[in-house]
Amino acid sequence: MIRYILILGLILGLFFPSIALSQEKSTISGYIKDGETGEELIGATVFVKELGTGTVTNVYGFFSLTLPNGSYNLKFSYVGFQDVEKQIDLTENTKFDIELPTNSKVLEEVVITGEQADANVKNVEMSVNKMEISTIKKIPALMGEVDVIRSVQLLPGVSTVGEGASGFNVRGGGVDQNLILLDEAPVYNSSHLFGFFSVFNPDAVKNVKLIKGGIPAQYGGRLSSILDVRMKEGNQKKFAGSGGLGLIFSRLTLEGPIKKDKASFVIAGRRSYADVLARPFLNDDLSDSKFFFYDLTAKVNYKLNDKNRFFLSGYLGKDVFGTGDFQFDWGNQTASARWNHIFNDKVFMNMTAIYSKYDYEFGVGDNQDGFNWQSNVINYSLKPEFTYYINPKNTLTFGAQTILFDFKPGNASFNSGGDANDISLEDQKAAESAIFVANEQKIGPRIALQYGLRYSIYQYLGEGNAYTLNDTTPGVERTVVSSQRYDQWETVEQYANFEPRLAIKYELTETSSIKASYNRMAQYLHLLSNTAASTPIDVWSPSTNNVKPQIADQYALGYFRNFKESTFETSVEVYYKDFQNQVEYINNADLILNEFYETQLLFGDGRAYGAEFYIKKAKGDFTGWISYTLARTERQVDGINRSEWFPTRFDRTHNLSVVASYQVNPRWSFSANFVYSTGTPGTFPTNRFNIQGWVAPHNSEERRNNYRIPDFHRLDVSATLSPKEKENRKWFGEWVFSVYNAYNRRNAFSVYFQENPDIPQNTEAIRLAIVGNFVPSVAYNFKF
Amino acid sequence: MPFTMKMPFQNLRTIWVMVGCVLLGPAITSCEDPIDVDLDEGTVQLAVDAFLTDESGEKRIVLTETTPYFDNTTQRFADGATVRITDDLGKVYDFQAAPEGQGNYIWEPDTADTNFGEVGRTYTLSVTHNGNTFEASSTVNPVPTLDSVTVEFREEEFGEEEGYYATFFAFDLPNREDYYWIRTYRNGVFFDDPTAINVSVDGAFGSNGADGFLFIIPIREFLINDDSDPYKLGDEVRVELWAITEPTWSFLGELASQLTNNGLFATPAANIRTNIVNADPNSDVKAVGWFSVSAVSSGTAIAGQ
Repeated sequence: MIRYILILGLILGLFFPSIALSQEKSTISGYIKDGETGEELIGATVFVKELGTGTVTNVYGFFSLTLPNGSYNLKFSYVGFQDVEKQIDLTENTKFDIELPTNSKVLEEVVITGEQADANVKNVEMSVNKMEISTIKKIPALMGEVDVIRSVQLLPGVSTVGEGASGFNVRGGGVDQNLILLDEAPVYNSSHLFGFFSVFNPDAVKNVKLIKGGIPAQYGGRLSSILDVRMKEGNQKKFAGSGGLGLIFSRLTLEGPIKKDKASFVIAGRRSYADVLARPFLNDDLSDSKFFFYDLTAKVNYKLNDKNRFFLSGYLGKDVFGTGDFQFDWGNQTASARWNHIFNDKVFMNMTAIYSKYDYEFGVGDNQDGFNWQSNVINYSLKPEFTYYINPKNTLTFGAQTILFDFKPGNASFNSGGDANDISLEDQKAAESAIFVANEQKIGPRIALQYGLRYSIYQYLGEGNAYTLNDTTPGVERTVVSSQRYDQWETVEQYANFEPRLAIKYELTETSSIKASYNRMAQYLHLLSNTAASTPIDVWSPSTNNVKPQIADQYALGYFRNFKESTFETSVEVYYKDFQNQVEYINNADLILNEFYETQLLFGDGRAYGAEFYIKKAKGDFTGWISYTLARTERQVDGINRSEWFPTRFDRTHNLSVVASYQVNPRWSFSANFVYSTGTPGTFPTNRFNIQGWVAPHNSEERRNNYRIPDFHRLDVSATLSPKEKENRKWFGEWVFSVYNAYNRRNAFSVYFQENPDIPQNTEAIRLAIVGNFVPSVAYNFKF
Repeated sequence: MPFTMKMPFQNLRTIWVMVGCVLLGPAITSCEDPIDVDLDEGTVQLAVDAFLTDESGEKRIVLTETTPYFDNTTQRFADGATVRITDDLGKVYDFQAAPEGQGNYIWEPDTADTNFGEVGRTYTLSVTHNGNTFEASSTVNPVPTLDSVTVEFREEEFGEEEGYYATFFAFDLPNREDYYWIRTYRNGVFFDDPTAINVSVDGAFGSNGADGFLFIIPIREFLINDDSDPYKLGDEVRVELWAITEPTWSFLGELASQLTNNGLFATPAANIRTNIVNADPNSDVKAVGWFSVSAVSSGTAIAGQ
């Protein structure tokens, strides 16, 4: 399949330029960069004054614009940078790079998006939120630790099952329905310390883009969102460093040129030192406890010549917990190698090779009496992608992706009295491939379209056993009727899906537009998780002959309007999503180290709908946004809740975020954020009965998620003190003081039911609060 | 295998307490506290508590009715029921209301009739109450000998107070899948900590080929001791090994999960299974509870002797 794509690319690369020449047009292409660091700018604009048209740079900072030969004034711009104008006489294909000088420091600090100010109205894409790392850094954070995922949770349409829970939910989708990409490598578990912190080191991140709807054809494999995290390339001009000392992590990032304007690097590390700090306070018997997490992010890029550029990025992170003879650790490793190649001025190629692994290990005891368990998911992937800048009205993207998955659901053994026993499960293999083509087309000055098609094909592969299960009463554990053995690489089951994607924009006025989109997504992986919050030991599992791929169709409609020269950006979006083959679990399901885990699964439909209201102030000393989402997400699964629709665990009716930041003077800035959301549903008992001295809960109506836990709300505040302005300052250090959960609310994560430990015949409801009080903190950040 | 999950999750929970209460600072005093929740009462149902053994003496079954979850005072006893057990040879055991009432029904063996709970027999319980008849059956499985119970003194160490700790020794019966419930008594009082409900498959947690092994250490030791209140000098420790059926093992596993289903990684609350089935398949009236007959072996030790 890839071969065909390459051939197609070659054909396009060879033949189309001649067509372009025959029309007496020429192409301007190149890169737009940050003049201070040499970093390529994503989404910077090129505007042709005479034609009133233009283009934006891609994720590698590359642009290409084909125009009739003539004389033009071009304007290059990016918010937070000074515009650069350039006059050209276009007679032949022209190539140049532009470096935009940085604006004064104060202005740089207030940038919220890094694109042209009215991008939200003008671009065809909708249901997309972009966050510059400078914005993320202003949001008050738990323990002062700037965090990508927790910031994403403040965006419209995004929620979480609770504080401290891992991952996030987008428009009624599960945590496993987000494709989280770090330099294009998928990250299977985005959390450190369960869900308190995310795995991305903010000092190494360049920008973050969340796509919730109208998902372009080059993305696939997850139903609900794409979180595209791009790492910095590293300062091309000079050696620089940054870092910080917080209460949780200490961080250090170094970057600089390896060979000026040819190669640069960035390397960033973090380690928690709570264990080091806590050690003096622990009793002797706790002093051997291990409790830390770290991550290391590194990237190099090398520009061979004007046409070829290479990038190599890697991530390694781990969380380690242990005491005495007990140890538990988990972490991600990713690597991506990318090759940017410019076939000619109009055809840009990126080829990415990806490796990603998530693993965990759990061990207790010794060889005499003990238990040990390892599990992982590994993928290898290749993704060639071509962008063909046909003319200012059409930009064609096409390519392919192939992924090989290797699952190790559980390598486990235990010992008893010196006897060892291996209880490992067999590995599972699967392959997912896709081809895609999409075009972004402008029709007249008001209408833009983005339409595409992705065709994905999936194989569940041997070697292994495939089981045939009986049909039984819905909700009851199924049994294995027969099993068949498959050889290495033999196809056990195959699925294929056409995934059409469409987005359309119609500009009503200079400052307002309406947009609509449709996308179909197919997901072949499932995170088997039956717990309130996803745990590090949840197992990623392939589609099999019994587990069908998940499918979602999403329709969205939005109105976008800017006020006061784009000082205020506002939008209203409504969406409806229809899910098929959603995985649920029988009562008291047993998913751990169970060879026949498929017997524990139920499948049903889902639906989610809602309205998102968003207002953002991007300019001035006072910036921030208000996001409000009114939403509903439900499932219908035969055998649960009397087979009627029920709200999902992460259904939140109201979800409000207010994020505000005020730059009082060049030295002091203050930020605050407030969140409010409806309590999540829970399944509460109605009755009780005594059995063998215990008081057992019972829900006589057999309802799922029949109550809601109390509403969630929280205020966080922070103040940042920057150093005095000084010419040629080499060391720039700032203090960040923050208070998380400022009014000390004990927000419930869940409510559970138990016998009172002292009087077992008395039953009680217990509120579990993950953060039970206000958390003050101070952090020191530096740059040099 | 609901129980294979317990160990990792309990450790996750320990970690969580460390995270919440150590890492985030001493200011965090409590992460869990009781709150008031207004719950609707559901349908009242018959609840059967019938765990019988092959040991000599009277057999007792307790019948109650479900009450509202938060009602700590109301008790509803199912008096006036007809309770009868029949075995697969046709022998009938008629239970009578106990003198103390309160839903207790007993059967007293007469002198010639002491072999209730014979291994291999299947017993069927029938309860008629308020015009509905419910039935349940249970087969008696063989039980291995409990070789010994030992008690040793230990100094205080991680998570364990100073005191006497018990271990029992037994080997799983080979060449068959066996299900066990281990019940521990201190001076005759049943150790009923819901986190220590001790059930086993082949002497291990799951049905993963521990056939014929020595019972694994969590079962033979960890779950028969209370780390915060170990045995004291002179305490009598009695360990009973009950042979149970696979459904009974599932019932007890589900009961344990639902009694301790808390924390960040709680699973959705789910009803515990029941084997008490309405004899009329068209009836909507349901019951809860369990009927089980076990063969039992046991051992006893005195702390410090």
